[in-house]
Order: sequence, then structure tokens, then C-alpha cells
Amino acid sequence: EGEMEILADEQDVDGQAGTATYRGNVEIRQQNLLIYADQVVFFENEDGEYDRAEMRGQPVHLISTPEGRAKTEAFAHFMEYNLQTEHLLMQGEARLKQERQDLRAERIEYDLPTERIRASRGDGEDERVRVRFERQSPDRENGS
Amino acid sequence: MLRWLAALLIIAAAIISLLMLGERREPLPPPAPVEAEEEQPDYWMESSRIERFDEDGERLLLLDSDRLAHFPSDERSEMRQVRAEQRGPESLLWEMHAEHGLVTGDRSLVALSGDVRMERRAPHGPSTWLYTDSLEFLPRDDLARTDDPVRMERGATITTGIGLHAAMAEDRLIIKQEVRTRHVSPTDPN
Repeated sequence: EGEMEILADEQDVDGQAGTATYRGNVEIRQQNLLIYADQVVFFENEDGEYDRAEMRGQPVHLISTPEGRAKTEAFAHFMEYNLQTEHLLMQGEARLKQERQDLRAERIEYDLPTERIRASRGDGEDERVRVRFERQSPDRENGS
Repeated sequence: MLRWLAALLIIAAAIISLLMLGERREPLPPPAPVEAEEEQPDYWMESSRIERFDEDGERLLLLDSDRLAHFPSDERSEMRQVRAEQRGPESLLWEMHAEHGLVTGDRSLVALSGDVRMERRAPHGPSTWLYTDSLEFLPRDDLARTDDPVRMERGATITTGIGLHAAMAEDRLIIKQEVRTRHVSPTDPN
């Protein structure tokens, strides 16, 4: 995991609930991960370590730039992130952009280590899963 | 008629000379400042301890100090090297330390200042330590608060910010502005 830095307007630690809530202009930096949100709640496990985070925003914006791999950007109104497994659940106008692929769905699960993605539709007619692939630009196609 | 004129002239001359006299008079020296007499305590105690209990005889508050001086004018007590303990929910304990403390006459407020440290000691898990310059502790309201910069440490997590609101009975710590948290997980060498 490495070092994590969090900036926010306010922090509220609830010892009884085992949560730490960050409110207002929240920014999280952790190695190759950068997250912008309005509110982030961290949940403690039995060892007193924070191992899960729920994030809310209009939308939450996540940028992952793993070494040697393409940059990934994700957007959603709600995200849940497991700090141990690095598994990300996104809900509410979720969107996942990677190089030339742009995936939109009501719900997207994204496993950062394996890059496995699972998207599912919402209830409404216009909430189906949509994927758009951008054509490679001609000069790159001819290898020049 | 001439006599009237002469009288008028004399009066005018008198007024003018009075006015001139007034300006030249040396300004009165400022009144000597009255030395506010420093109030003396009516009693003091060394290694003092104040305890407060609830109806069931459970101790709610403990206030130790190296030296306590009591002042009759407003019934306040001034303390040195203060240690305060307040119980939280489920055997949680809050402990505060400071160089100086002032307890108001009605005992509703303990104003702590000078190297203020507060510990949240839970039955399990690491303690949380808070450091600031001054802290208002309101025992009856189970509340501690400051508007000063604050540093909070818990295990490998360090948070800094401005202003603190500690609701001790609810076990809540709120840092009010400019929050910055650094969490160094065990796998990180530095």
C-alpha cells in the first residue's frame, strides 16, 4: 500500500462507529492513485486499521497511473474501495476510461491489480452498458 | 463716550492676555499609574486533587495539579502541571496534560494552556494522542475544544489541522479546518 496522504476541509473521527470521515474538497494520494471527492468515509477493521473507504461526489474522480501500464480514469457518484484488495465498486453514472476505451454503466466493478472489469446496467431503459472504442488514428495504424 | 471706549479696550486687553497665559501654561503631568495590586490567593495547595462523582458514586472527573492557588474575588483556581481525567463510553478514558490550568469559580470550565496533550485511551487498539497550545475543557458537557492548530497521532496515522471539537461522551473528534492526514502503512519503509 505505501504512504497515503489525505487533504480535506474537515475530519470527523467516530471512535464508537470506528470511522473517520473527511468532508469538503477531499483529495487522496496513494502511490499511483489520486482521488477527488466531496466526502470520504474510512472504516476500521478489528485491528484498528482503515481497510475500506466509501466516497461520494458530483462525481467522485479517480485517476490511476500504474507503472508501465495505461492511465485509467473513473467517475461515479459513489465509489467503494477496498484498500487491501484494491477492488473498486462504482455506482451512479459510472464511467471508466482507459486509453481508447470508454465504458459507461450504472454499476462498474474494477479490480485494479488484475484490471478485470464487470459492468451492469441500471433499471432504466437508457441505463444499459455502453462501450465506445476510439479508432486508432491513421498514422499510428500505418506505424509511422 | 471716551470713558466707555477706554473701558472696552481694557477688558479686551485683559481677555487676550488671559488667553495667551492659558496656552503657555505647562501641560499637567500624566497621573502616575496606580499599581494594580496583584490579587493574592486566599489559600493554595501542593499536589492537589479534585474529584467529582455521579449519583452512583462513579468518578466522572479527576483533576490533579502540582500546585493549586484559589482566588476569592471570583472563586477561580489557578493550577500548575495539570492532569485531568474524564471517562468516556465503555471504559474509554480521556486524559489531558498541560503546564497551566484555570478552573472557573462555577467549575464549568477548565482552561488548559502550555504544551497541552490529550490522550484517548481505548480498551483495545492504539491510543490517540492530540497536541495543541490551549484547550477549553468543559467537564459537565463532556467537551474539549480549541481554535488553535492541532496534531493528532494514532499508530501510523498523523493528522494536522486547525481547531478541534472533542465530544468525549460520544467519542467523537472533529478537526475543523485545513485537514492533512499522512498514513504510512507497515509495508512502506520510510
